Amino acid sequence: MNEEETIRRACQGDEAAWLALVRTYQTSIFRLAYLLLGDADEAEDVAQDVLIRAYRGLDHFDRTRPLRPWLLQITRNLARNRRRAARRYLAAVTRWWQATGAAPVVPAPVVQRDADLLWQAVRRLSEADQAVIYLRYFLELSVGETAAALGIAEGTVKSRLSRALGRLRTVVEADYPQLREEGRL
Amino acid sequence: MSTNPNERWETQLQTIAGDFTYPPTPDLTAAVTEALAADKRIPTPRRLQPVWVALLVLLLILVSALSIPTVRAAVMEWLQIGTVRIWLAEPSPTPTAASPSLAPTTTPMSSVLDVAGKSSLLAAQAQVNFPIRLPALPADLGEPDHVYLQQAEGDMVILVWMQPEEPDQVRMSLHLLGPGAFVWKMQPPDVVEVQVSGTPAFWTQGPYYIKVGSGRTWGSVRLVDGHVLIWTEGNITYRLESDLALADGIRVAESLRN
Repeated sequence: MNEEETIRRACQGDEAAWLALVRTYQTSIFRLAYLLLGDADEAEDVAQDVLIRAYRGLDHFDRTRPLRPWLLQITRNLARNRRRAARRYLAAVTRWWQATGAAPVVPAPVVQRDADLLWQAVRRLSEADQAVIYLRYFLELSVGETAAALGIAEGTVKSRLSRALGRLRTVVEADYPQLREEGRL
Repeated sequence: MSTNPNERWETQLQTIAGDFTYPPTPDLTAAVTEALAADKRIPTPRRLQPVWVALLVLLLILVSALSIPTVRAAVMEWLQIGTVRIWLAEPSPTPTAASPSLAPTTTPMSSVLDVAGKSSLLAAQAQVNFPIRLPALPADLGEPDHVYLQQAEGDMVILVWMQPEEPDQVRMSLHLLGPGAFVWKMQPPDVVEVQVSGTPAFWTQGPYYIKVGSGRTWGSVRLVDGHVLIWTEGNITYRLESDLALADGIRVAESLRN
């Protein structure tokens, strides 16, 4: 059964078809949410919300298009909303710390792999730069799928990637010497 | 491997990114199934609200009055749904000299932000006595980017979503007018009667003026371009401003959730 047929059956209430779609795409959804939010529990909440919203909107989805980019587009928007709410909460907590005179607890550094360091560097970029890098390099979407997930033209994906990689390179060269050693990056 | 340093950098980046270790993906099938089942168990109230009883009575009076030619000419100057009155002919008072021209424009953020009362979802919900319901469609919509709370002889909440790729352009706005709030729309070029969830609604196309407030005191006057769907649920009047086609606008209206 191809994806278009699976979606059609899911829209008709076929639970097995719907769950097949969930199992197929929950990993991509969860991973993008995790990359954007940095927390597995938050990512799980967002992923669940994405699938619920996708189910409600599935009837209006153009079945001739691939489903994954559409799901990742929803994921990005919901994660962005969640991050805004988290920033407000963090600002409130920081103000409280400052008012009480207590110093926030800083976790001790641990040995980190190159991929974790790269992720830290990417997280220093704007949300738009992060999104295009995560979709293209971490989740390995094609240029076409990345364009669909971002709602932009393929040519725009290439130009945004080029600029985002330039900014990432600046961050890596300035603050992540470990990644520069031995020609890793 | 490519000798181009930029391409080499990109290839190495891709290799390292591919090595990233994610937390285990949770199995979401049970949680999603349960959430959707709970969604279906909450029925939509179907009993006839008092406002619809009043509207039915008004409709009967209008039908009788429309049989009289002179009355018919006067009555069809305006249409009303909920707390929104749509003037089909030029009403009194007329727009002031300071009002913008009727040349169609897109809806930049500044025109939406001409309204006062910047707030948040939480703060606005704490101050109004009706639920601020959000559309579940389009599926990628999320929470509004801007929230405003105004007084228009009653509470009015304005929710604004911006275009993701053009942050200074409005994608959609939803007005929630509580009991007592009042809005006049003046001379939209087209007004079509439609239905939302089986109840009467109006669909208008801009550009036209919108005035918020009473006949004596206007909270704001602004030009709206694009399509507007107006409907009521209970004692709340909704206005959905967007560039969606009618069928999509109705789907968005019918997707409101708490």
